Amino acid sequence: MKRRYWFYGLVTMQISFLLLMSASYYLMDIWGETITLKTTPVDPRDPFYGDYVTLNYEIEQIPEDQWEMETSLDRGEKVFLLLEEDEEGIHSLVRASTLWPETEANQVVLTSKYQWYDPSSKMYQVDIGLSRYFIEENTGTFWEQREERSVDIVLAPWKQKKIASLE
Amino acid sequence: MNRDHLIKESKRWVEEAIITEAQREQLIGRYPKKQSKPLLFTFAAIFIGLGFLTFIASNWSYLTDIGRMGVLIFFLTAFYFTGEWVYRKRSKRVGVSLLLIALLIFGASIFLVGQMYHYTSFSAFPFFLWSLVGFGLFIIFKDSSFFYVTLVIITIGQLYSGIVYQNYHIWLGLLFVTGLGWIVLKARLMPLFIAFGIGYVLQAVILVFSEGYPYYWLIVSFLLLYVIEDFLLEKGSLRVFKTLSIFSMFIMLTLQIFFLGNDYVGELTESSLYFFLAWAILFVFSVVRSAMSSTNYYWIDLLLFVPVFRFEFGDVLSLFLLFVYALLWLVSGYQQEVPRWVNKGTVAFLLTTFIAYFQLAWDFMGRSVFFFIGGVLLFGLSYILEKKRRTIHKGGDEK
Repeated sequence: MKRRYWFYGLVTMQISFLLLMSASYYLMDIWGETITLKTTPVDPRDPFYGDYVTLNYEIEQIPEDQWEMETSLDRGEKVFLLLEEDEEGIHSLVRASTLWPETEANQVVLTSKYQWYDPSSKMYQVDIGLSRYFIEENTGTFWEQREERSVDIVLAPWKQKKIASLE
Repeated sequence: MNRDHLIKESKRWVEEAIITEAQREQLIGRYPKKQSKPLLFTFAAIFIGLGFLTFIASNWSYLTDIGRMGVLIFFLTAFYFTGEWVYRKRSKRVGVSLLLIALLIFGASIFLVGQMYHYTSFSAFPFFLWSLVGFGLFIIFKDSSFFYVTLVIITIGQLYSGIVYQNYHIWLGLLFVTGLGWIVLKARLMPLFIAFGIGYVLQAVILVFSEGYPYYWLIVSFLLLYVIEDFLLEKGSLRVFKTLSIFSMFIMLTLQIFFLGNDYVGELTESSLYFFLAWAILFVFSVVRSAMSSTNYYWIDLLLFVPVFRFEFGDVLSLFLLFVYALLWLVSGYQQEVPRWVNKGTVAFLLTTFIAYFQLAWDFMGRSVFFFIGGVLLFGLSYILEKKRRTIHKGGDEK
């Protein structure tokens, strides 16, 4: 008898986990904050793989003067990006650091993972974890036609983020 | 003889007064009723489940996100509850297979829901969650299928973590060692030991390569596997972990023969103080253990764990170790007249000869000549060894 209750508990936990994954996605629209980011032009030779678009954001490439770290980082370490909204409503990078930065009125913080340092362009590469956008199958060519676009991203108070729309 | 046949036949025996009715019942009692073919039911259940799933999969793109969630959760619950009900009321095996399908649906759901809602994961966390559920099912139902499934999920997850993120997922590792290790210790069943041992070797390989540790740490991990068996198994039982450990070391030495000749050996041997410390502790310990044991021959195994990569000609030394290992088992097998040791030595010797031949002759011989001579060499060797081996077996029979 006791065993059955454990079993029901286990099943309930799985279902609630899946529901939570789903619910948090919709709840973000209510409590989240929307920002707009620019993507860099995607290499047109091989930008699509399967049924998703690969996006590279401008803020993921960080020049040395905005990089506020003394020691070198391991791949995958957390980097916090401080973003500020400009006149056109696009968020761009102020600085990147490993400590959670203080924010002002029109600023937000985005978490990312360190990737690598490119010595030739003197750029640090990070990944904000939104590089894949799953699209309807067979619409890949439509997306391929435009090179640079802006992306609306919703940031939830519980640190989750999602792509709201691609323009 | 099967039960039905016996029941028919024995009726006649009683009539002909060959046996009494009581004896007949005793005889029939020796052939217990078999479970009625649950295997077919299992397959039926699996096929129906897969039929549903492929139907959903082919119509997946026509569904809205909410509809997809509904479908996933419906099938998840349906399979879990029917599985549990069948397990309790009807057949344990069919019940377990239904529960296994439900577990697979859960795993697939994590990834499908993740794709639907554009989740990107930075680690093998989904696999951890999935294997945790498998582990939970094992705890609840105590069926070894769940053990194997959990082991497979953990291993695939760890492999995924190692390849995609170059990172050893520590929680998967912990669940493997403490969770599955605890089950194995409690159950003490041979198949579980074998599965766990293979899992351990794979985990060790992934850990070393994904975290970028020098490969020689594998020697320590395999030696640990070798040593640890003494604490787990009673004497006289099959040497599962030890065999696996020796097997892994054998493969590693083979790879050393081929690759240690390259130039990167210099950087490999740097800052290996901790390695030697860990290695020395385990090695001394196992030497003492084998010296104390009643069969004084198992120290031969320990030869394979000697870290020869430190030397400039490590590849030659590795080959040398393998030869010494094979010959020592052969010789002591003949001396003590233990066929198992002779067999082990024979196989090791043939393999080593082949490896040596491959390493030495591949570069400067014509391919056809290479294989031809190699074949003749192995043929001759195996003929001699087999002949010797038979004399031992005969000698054993006479006694």
